[in-house]
Amino acid sequence: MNLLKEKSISIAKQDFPNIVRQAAKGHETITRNFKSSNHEKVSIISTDIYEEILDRGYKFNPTIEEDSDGHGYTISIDELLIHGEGPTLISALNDLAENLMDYAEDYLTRIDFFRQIENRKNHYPYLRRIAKLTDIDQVMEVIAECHTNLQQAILNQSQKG
Amino acid sequence: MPYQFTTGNIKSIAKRLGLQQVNSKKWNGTDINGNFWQTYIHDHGDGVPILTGTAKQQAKQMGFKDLEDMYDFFINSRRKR
Repeated sequence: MNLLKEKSISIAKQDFPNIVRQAAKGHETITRNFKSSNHEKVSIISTDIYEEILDRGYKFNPTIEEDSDGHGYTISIDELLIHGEGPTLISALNDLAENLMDYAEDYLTRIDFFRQIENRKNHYPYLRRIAKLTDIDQVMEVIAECHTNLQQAILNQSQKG
Repeated sequence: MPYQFTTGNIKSIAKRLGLQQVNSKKWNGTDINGNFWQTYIHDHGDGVPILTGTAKQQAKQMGFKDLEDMYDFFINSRRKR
C-alpha cells in the first residue's frame, strides 16, 4: 500500500499555491523530475509538522564529566561529536551552546559537504533544531531538555539575575 | 595511568593530523587518510592543562580510540595517524 502520491515538477509548479495551502493543513506533496534518471524526490510539507517531528525524535542527550581535581566541567553530546567546558556547570553549558551554534551554521551552509562524511551525515536533524533558535539561552534550554541537573543550573543562573 | 595534556599538546596533535584553526576555538581538517575531523580547543595558553573530560572528547573527535591512543601518537613522532 502506497498512500503517497507524486507529482511532476511541471504540474507542481502550476499547482504551487494550492500545494502550499494543502501542506499548511498537513498534506504532503512529493515532487520529482520524471524525465531524469536519478530518483531524487522532494517533499513539500508543513514546517510546523516538520519541526514537531524533529523536536520529538531528536532529543539532545548531554553527558557531564566533572573534573576530579575540581577544576571544572566538560559537557559533551556524543551524537554530535561536540563538547563544551568551563569552571562551572553553567559556563560549560554556555560554551557547548556557543560551539553548537557555530557548528550548526557551518553545517547548514556546507550541507552537501557534511552529508558526505559518514560519521557526520546524521547530524542534520539535531542541527536543524538549533538553526531555528534565535539566541544562546534558547540553545542552552534545548540542550538541557532531558537533563535535570543542567535545567537546575539554568534556573539557578536566572534567579541570580 | 592518568594521561595529562596541555593546550599546547592538543594543538600540536591537531596540527600533526592536518587540522587547522578556523576560528577562535574550532579546528578542523582532513588527515592523511582523507578523513575529516573537527574539535574545539580553548586557547588559555600553551602550558595550561586540559581537563581530562575535555581531552577525552578531543581524542574522540580527532579519531583516537582513547586518551592512551592519543598520548601514544603525541610521544611517537613517527606515527602519521
